[in-house]
Amino acid sequence: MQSDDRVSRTLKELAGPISSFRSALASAVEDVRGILSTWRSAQSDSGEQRRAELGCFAAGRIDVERFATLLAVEEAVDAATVARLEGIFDLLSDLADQKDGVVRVKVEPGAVLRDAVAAALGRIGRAFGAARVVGLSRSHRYEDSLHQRFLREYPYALWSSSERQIAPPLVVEVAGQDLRAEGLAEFLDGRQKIVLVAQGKCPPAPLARLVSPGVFVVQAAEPVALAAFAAYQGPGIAALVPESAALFTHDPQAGARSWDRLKVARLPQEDAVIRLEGLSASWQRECLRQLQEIATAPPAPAPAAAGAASNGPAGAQVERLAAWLLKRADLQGL
Amino acid sequence: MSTPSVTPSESQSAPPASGAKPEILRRSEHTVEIVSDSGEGAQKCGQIFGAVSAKMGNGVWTVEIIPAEIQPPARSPAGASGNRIRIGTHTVTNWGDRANVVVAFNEQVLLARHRLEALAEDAIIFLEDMWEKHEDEQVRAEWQAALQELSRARYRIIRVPMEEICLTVVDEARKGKNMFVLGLLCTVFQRDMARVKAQIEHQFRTKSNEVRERNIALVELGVRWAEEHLPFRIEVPPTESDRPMVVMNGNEAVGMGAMAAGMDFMAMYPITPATSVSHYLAEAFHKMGGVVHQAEDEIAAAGCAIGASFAGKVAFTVTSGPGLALKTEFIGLATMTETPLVVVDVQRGGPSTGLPTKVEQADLLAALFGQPGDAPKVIIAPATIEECFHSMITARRIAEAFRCVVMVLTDANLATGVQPFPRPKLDPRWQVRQPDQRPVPKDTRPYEWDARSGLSRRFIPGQPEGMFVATGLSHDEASRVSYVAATNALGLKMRSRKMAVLSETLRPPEVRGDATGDLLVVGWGSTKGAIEEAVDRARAKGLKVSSTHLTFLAPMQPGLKEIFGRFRKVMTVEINHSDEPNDPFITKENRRLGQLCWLLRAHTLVDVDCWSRCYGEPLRPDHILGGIERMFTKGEKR
Repeated sequence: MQSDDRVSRTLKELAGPISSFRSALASAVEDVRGILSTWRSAQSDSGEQRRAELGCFAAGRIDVERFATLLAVEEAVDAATVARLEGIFDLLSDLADQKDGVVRVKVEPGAVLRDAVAAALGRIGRAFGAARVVGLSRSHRYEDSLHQRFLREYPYALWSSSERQIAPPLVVEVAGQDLRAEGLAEFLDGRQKIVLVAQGKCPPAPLARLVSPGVFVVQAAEPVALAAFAAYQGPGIAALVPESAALFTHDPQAGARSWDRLKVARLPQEDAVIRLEGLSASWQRECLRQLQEIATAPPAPAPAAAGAASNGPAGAQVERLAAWLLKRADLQGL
Repeated sequence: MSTPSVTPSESQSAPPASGAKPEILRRSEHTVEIVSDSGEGAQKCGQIFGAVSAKMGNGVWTVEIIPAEIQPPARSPAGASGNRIRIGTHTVTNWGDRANVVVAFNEQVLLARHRLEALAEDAIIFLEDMWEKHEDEQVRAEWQAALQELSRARYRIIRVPMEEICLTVVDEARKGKNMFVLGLLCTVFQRDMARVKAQIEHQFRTKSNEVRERNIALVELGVRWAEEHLPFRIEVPPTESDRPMVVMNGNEAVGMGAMAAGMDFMAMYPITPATSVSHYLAEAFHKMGGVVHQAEDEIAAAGCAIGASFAGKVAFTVTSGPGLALKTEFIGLATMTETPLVVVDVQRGGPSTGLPTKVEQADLLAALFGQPGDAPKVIIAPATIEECFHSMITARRIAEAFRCVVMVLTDANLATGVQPFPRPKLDPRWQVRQPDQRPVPKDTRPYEWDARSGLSRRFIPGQPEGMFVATGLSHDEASRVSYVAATNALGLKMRSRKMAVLSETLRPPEVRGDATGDLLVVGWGSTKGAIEEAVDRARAKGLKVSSTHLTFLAPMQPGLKEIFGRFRKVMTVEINHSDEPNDPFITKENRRLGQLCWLLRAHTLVDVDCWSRCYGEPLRPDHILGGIERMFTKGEKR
């Protein structure tokens, strides 16, 4: 599969969130460097270590040697822990060195999109896994049998809510016929963004079934349409699709109702839809209908019958009460 | 430092002759006050002036002048709100004695400062003159009366039509005078205008461009007015520093120190003057993985912090006097359960709700003895804004090493005062140590006190073999509730022993000045700069005075008795109440003393005397000097 320039343009549009992740990564590298240097120096000069731990305020006020002796301070860090931390330092440095490569994924034709994304997030997650192993090592809770795997792969399912907030966007090149996005729903959490760059013919509304109130969903022809998507402080999925597909934007901030949030710019004719490998035409048409359904405001309620409105003073009171209650519940538009 | 003055002359500004260069008055230090009604922005003006001065390399100490009420009546002496900024060529350690330059937005707030003797005899005063011709007869009468009262002093009053000028740029001058005044002051003191504009951009970064541009336009108006009307400039040369400096107040320093110390969690309930610690942390803490929790009340805040610490996090809580009272029971719980906890108490005037915005050092005994039962804890008192930062690192380490409560006593003076200090060089070792969560060896108990030191290993919930029930009831080493007398006695002994162990690691305080002499002045907390300046002045007068400043108040630093023994008299200087020896009914036997004085007498059995004031403002060096001189004239011998 050849790469196209939409990928590099997409990466430019997503420069903000990518840069946030990379700066978190760079800062993690520095943190580990600091801890490593501390542990190494503690092995050679524990007095200096204790002095430093007490801070400048203690200088001249606390006898550090005596403090250490009386407290019989905790054991020094063992060589295995230092070696583990060195491995983590290398891993984080390697992730940091990959630059944009860390957020790019190419799905081999015929492969399962969901699995490719899961694997890529698992690789990125090693940064979080590494941070967790550092924390476990510092508190002496690390166990090889339980925690070593975090450094090989740290699946999305294990990511904490904070980690999901700083997750980098993923730019995925995928053959159009393999664009089965429903399986990606589980990754749309925190601020996770996924952009699918479809190559070749694809279903007309592959993301329709992912539209939900808090998720930014876009089908667009060009990366330039992703600016609002990139700026959104929540999860999102986008697909860059060919001319045969629908173009729409579901912006969670655009309103309370689905038809306020969802704007459809282009909707292919249903009868133009043809079967793609493994996807029947009727299934694809169903996606289009779903898109249409949630983008359309329901018809306004019919005005009350004349007889009901003039149903005597009691009827008018009921009407007024109902209107008041609806207004109180912010439902007067129904 | 002495109090320099500018030659007083006419009460109206004489415009400089065309093309004439203004006279430069060179000073090693100068004190400026800006006072207004609450809400007129004098504090913002002072903050910017102080920050710019600090960034230019001047020594700076600022103190906020805050009315006790949130919205006091306008044009009332009690409502004076503003800022005092003392700038110097070298480091400035306190707010000084009297203001040399004052900007007043009305004559009533000026009167307040005059009556408090806050102004130098020859102060230059820039006074808004719109009140003289005010439509309200009462206001005009108040103006006349005030100027009459002020005329008895030798002030040089320069009337400034602030309102009239500001109305050329803004519709509501009340919202613009502060920036006009900033321009005026920055011209008088020759501040770097590029820095002034940058600071305005920073201070108003959350406002619209329009607001920032309008403020800069107002500053420029002030500059122009000063250039056209003032025949003098004041030069306080800055000093080049080879170290990068930071400028902040004590509450920000506490918050930043907490982050540098690797703290994870801060729980608080809003209380003046402590709240701004949480404001600062709310903006920054989450970026470091920390959490600020505003609890439903003070007790809950202490409880949350204890809970977080019990769960293995590094936790602290921040409060002020009345909040400390409410936290009493839970601080006892932390002591009993030996849960590490840092409590920052930003002291204010008391008792009860007292003087929320004003400084006092009146919580020392409450901090030390506030809990029913014996609740030994560590009390440290930073003396500078820089120490507010660094004390948090030491507090964390001690709290965890000794499984105890560490109270950090700052005060309203440090909390709101701004001072530049060398940018701390962050050290990862401040936060590297974590609770050891390896499986607990079988049969190890959660309070397995070392018989000598009283120390025991800390267990964290979830740690293999570390499960135990924490209790505030008397318990044995296994944390089982026990009312057996010997068990209770052992717990008391072990918790107390830890303080003795810490005491063994402390070093005697340094003595500033000669090691022996006639008088030793002992202080603690934020009074350090003022005390040392007063003692230096006394020594310059030939008095044999030295000073020492205590940082560890519980346990006390060792060697005090020996140090005191080298002086004929020992006197504490504090911002809390003590009876005047000559007042009615006050005898040597019934006289109530300053709080540190009580402690030192009990601790050393030395007949320590005290000099204390609680005017609701920081101590002034000249007042302390008066106290020192009085001690000499008493002629009593121990």
